[in-house]
Amino acid sequence: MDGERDTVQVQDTDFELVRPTLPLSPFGRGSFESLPSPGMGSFLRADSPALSTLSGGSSLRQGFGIGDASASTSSLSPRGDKSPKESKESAEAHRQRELRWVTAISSITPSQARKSKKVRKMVLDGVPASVRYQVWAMLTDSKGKRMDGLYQKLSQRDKVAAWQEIERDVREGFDGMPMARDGSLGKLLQVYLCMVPDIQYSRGLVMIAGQLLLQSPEEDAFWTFVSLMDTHLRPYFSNNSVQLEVDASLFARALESNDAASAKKVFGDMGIAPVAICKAWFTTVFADALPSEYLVRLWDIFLFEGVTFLFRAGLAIFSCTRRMFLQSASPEGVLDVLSRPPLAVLPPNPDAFVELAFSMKLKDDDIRKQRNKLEAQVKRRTAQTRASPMSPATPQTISLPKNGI
Amino acid sequence: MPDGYDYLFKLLLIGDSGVGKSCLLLRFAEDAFTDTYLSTIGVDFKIRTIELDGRTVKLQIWDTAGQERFRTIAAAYYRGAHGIIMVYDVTDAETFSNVKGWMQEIERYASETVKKLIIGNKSDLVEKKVVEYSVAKEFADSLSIPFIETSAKNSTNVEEAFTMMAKTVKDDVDSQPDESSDSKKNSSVTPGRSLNQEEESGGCAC
Repeated sequence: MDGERDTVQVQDTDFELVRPTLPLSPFGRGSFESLPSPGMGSFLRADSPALSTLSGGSSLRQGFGIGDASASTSSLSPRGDKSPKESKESAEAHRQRELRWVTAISSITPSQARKSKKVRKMVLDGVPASVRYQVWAMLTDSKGKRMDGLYQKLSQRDKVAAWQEIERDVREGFDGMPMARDGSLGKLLQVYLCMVPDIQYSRGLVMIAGQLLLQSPEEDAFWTFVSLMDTHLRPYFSNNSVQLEVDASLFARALESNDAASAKKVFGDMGIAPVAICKAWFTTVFADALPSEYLVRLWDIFLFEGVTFLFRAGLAIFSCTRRMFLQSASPEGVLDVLSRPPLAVLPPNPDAFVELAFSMKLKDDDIRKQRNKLEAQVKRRTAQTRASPMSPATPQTISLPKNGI
Repeated sequence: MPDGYDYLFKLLLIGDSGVGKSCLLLRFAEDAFTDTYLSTIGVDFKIRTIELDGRTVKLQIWDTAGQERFRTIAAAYYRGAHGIIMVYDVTDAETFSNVKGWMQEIERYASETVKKLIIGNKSDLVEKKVVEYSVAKEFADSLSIPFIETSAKNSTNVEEAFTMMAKTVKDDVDSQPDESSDSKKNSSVTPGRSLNQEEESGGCAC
């Protein structure tokens, strides 16, 4: 009747249908595109329905992705679990898509990539896992940032103050995975924090850099990280920045206009601060919230669209977890559902999730404008609060704390 | 496609680090891509178009890193490959014995019908050579895989090796009936080939 949706059942049925034809190798799961590492199981929560799929050598997406036009969702198993014709066609489509990307990567100026309608269409159409890190590097124009030798040089420096926290978060987030074992993840962050002293270390940095290292060679990952931070995320981590508060209030407003009842329940009845939710999502770029195959797809789009797509993804999560949190009686329960939505309530495949995100009511340009405006306003207010109570009053457009007057 | 070709083949170069995969690729493809040579870390790809039996064949060649860490995402590179070239270094016996391991990777990740080729590279280093031609040839024969020794340095057999691979793939593709009725026809019909044969080119992408 509620919560537990029929799709779960459908999913199960589909597994049964395809399981007998799946390869036995633990590496031979159906979805090559988006499960880059055999260790991905550790990305899933213990209670995630996907875990059984992974350990069973089956692919969750087998039931849904077959014949899907998108590279990121089309499933593939090399051992003929589809008719020869089907796999031939999907292999051909895959090669064509790869070829388009290979050509684009060598011909498009990275600094122009995010302005290109053609690139946008290609991103939406699908990014093969084989070119993903180079596509991400292109979308962030990370080569433009690159300074040869700097990475090695900075890695020689003394450990930053946050080193112990970094080590702990690497262990907790990526235990046993290559970037934890070879020390590259810790090193990347150590170098980054040496380079940009205004950044306050937080766990999100490890989660973001870890995603990049899952795809890229170390130094490439570093420069894409630098570029990604500068282009989109740095204000979330900077000392004295109010960007996160600003975005959280914009997000709360966006949710209200999409779904007033949910906004009232979560922010009103439950008394959850929008910033608590946005911090969990935005400062990790959803790394904790979504399974890896959804996550990389979200990143593909985010790296093109920018922060507004994080808003859309957040609204999408609100939309698909709606029934669950509306029934929840405690703020903890609500937060839990939102920060780690169960796989069963997510759209059946990553592209369906992206589609849902794009269907959310949001004026991206307005958000961009409002971000600038609100940030200036909050900054003024912060300055005012810090200043002596005797300082001249600021314009009346914002409500000031009434201290000392 | 805007630039006409009759076939698009995806080829993959695999093998231990340092056997000269990137050098082979650079040697073979540099006419087409002189300035986009990327880091040998991670993955590189190049495209070169060749003529084969009077047809235009576009080769999309992937050079994967031999580094252990990147083998975790190797599966993505095998997807859709028509041909896989396993490279070893004739001056390094270990890289030759590891070919067996690379074979396993192929079995694990690639399509069953994928065509294979073994290349013994650095044949110019005659003094240092430790893997004899006859030994490697016998090994390759036992697996029914074509074998060739090359030198990316002085360009011996490089052209031949890639052409050999392309030819094997093309012959295979030509021999398979294509059931998909909506597959697009080739724009350029080579005289002497029947229309029927045209339609049979399953890998044709134009």
